[in-house]
Amino acid sequence: MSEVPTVEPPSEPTPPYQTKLSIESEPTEAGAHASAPAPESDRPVPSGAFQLQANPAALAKFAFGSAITIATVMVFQEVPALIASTSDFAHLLIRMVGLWLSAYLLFAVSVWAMFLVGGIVGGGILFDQEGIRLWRFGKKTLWRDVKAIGLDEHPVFSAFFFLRPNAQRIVFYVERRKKGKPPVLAGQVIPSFSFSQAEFGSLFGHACQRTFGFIPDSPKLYAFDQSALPDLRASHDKGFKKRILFTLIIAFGFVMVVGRTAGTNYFYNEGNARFARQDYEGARKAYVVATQINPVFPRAWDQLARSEFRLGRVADAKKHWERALQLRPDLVEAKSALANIAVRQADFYLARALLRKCVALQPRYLPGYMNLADLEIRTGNPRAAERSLRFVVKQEPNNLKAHQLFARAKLKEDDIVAARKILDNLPQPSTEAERQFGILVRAEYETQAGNFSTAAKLFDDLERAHQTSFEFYLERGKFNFRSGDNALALKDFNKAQELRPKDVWPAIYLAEMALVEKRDGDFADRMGNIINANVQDPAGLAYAAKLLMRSQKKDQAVDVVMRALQLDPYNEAAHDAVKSIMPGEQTSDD
Amino acid sequence: MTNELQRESAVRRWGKVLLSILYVVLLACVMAWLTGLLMGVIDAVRTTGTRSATVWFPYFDPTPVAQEPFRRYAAGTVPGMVEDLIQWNNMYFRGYTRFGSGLGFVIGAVYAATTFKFSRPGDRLPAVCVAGLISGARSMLMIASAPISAIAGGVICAVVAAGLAKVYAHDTRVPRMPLMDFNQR
Repeated sequence: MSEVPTVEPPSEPTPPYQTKLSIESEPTEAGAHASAPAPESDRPVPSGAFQLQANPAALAKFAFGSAITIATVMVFQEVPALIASTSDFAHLLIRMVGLWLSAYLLFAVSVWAMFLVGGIVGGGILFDQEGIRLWRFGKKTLWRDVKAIGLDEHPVFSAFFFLRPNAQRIVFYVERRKKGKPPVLAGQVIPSFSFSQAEFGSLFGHACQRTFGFIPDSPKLYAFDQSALPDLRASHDKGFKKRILFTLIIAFGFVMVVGRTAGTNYFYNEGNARFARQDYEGARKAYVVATQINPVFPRAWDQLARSEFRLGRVADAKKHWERALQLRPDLVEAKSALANIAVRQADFYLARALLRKCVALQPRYLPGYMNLADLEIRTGNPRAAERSLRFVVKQEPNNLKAHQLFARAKLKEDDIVAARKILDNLPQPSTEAERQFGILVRAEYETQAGNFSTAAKLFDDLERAHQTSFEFYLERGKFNFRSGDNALALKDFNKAQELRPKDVWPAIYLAEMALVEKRDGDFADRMGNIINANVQDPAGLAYAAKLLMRSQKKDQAVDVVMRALQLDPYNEAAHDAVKSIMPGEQTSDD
Repeated sequence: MTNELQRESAVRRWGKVLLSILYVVLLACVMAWLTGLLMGVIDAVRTTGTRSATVWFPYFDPTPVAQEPFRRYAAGTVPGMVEDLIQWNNMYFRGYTRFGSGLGFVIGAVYAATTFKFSRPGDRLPAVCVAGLISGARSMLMIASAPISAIAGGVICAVVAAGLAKVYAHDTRVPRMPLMDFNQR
């Protein structure tokens, strides 16, 4: 430090546009500026003022270096989840590489982009004869208030984030005065990762020159005012302790977040693996742990509810699907499942609203269309169901359930030939549930076609396989009723009513049996109960109206069919009933 | 003679502006294709050996594509046109390639808008706005795949990008800090 050279500002402003992000990168053309108004860059700037913008290459170096560490940590937190879903070590290794690459690129590019935008918004460092401003919205620090300047290296931080050369920071110790209190030294920090090494070293040199009037031979030193030494030591120690505390908090938080994510992912994937093996109790336990570790993970709540539903714990399932929707209101899987429960509770209005929301939120969510089609078939809109099913079949030509529902819709329209054609060309079932549902639909067809012996065989098959759901009892009851075995039909309808007390269909068929057996008092009682109940099923009401018409109670029939139309003004079954009750009447559907 | 030169330079100037817009769109598309491909390969690696493994080239994602996409807006309207673009994007870039292509669109557009050379700061504005529009609309698709939100995101981002370009032009009027060579001292 024998000689103190000075750096003179250039006589003409240096073309500031040398970085990649610069606005002007070419010398101006001769004619272009002749008549144009002076651009903003030609306006005078304060004398001796310089600026230092963030260097995109330096930012990229930091982003891509730190991404190595972050991607590695992220991959390690995913490993437990990968173990649960990978069969062998070689695949695990390949998947880890893929995951690492994906995390690395994602993190590096996002961080770099954020730094670039932040650099432009922050506006870089600006200094002049008076002082230095560290960013656009910062207050200018006057050189005369700077009591010390130091340059620290951070080898541990640099090693952790793969930074070469080591990360540095310039600390300005600035005297701060508060009323009634002795002045204190406060540190203001400029980290090196936004700038190239040459830029950062030069910044330090310029700061020393402006503050203490000399340019250091090396960028590695502490320059300070002798009078500020005791305060400087205290401020430096305080800053060091703060940094250690901050690092510990960050590290602790990081470990907690990483550990929590790893635990959640492991138990969630473990649950998925068990669910796929149809071990629903095991899956439920795994999902419970996942939701305990991370109570705001909607997918885990959704899968927990699904396992509970498969175990027959419908109330718990409903509660947990509602929890999933609280956390993520657009989770269509949970909405669709709640619609399914609403159908079981004969709340068709809610079910339709939920399913319509599902397909509006996710126009390609095929299970939503299928459930909507199923609902439309149940509530007497088979042609509307067909529209949804056509869309599904177009996307997935081999979707067996869609074809089976299509056949059911045709049966509801009494188009037995079309139903048979569909049932004869069904794709092969891939699961037991699909096979059983196929048998049920086939049995419905055989009943409607009058092939009672074949239908009886199919119902026996289902009973032997313990597929004795509400639908099974209802359809077998209809079969027994049609084939003339009213005693068995009565048992089946009673059983169906026991399984779903709110569903109106068993009560309607029991009333129809009373009508056929000419038990007028019993028929009147049963119909009275149906009329007085808060029935939400327009198809059920339309059918009840037809029964009332058959028993010569036209006024009551008209009232009931009007209720059906109030529930669903475009209901196909209700409009059919209107045509049969009031033959000359025009409905809004015509 | 001077006027003739000025007219010529004005033509050249506006030609460059149009060229810069074309450059932004083209580079965004090329980068989208490249990063989409890259992310598709990465996805195939990271899902290898699993039940939901990605199918290798040419289709990275085995999810069936809708033959007749669901429409909300009539064809010929602005939202309808944006919806068509979204449908095209969703059909062409499937699975993880879609995310990769999104990154590519943004990176390509921003890079192109910031590297094209101009004689006046104001000339960059159209290219910056187009880059902002592409980046904002595509970024918004990562949140909601709907035309209105994409248009809103694009317009907001274009305005922000224009503002940032203006701010940057203002900042760079101050001379850059001269470098010191410590090794020579």
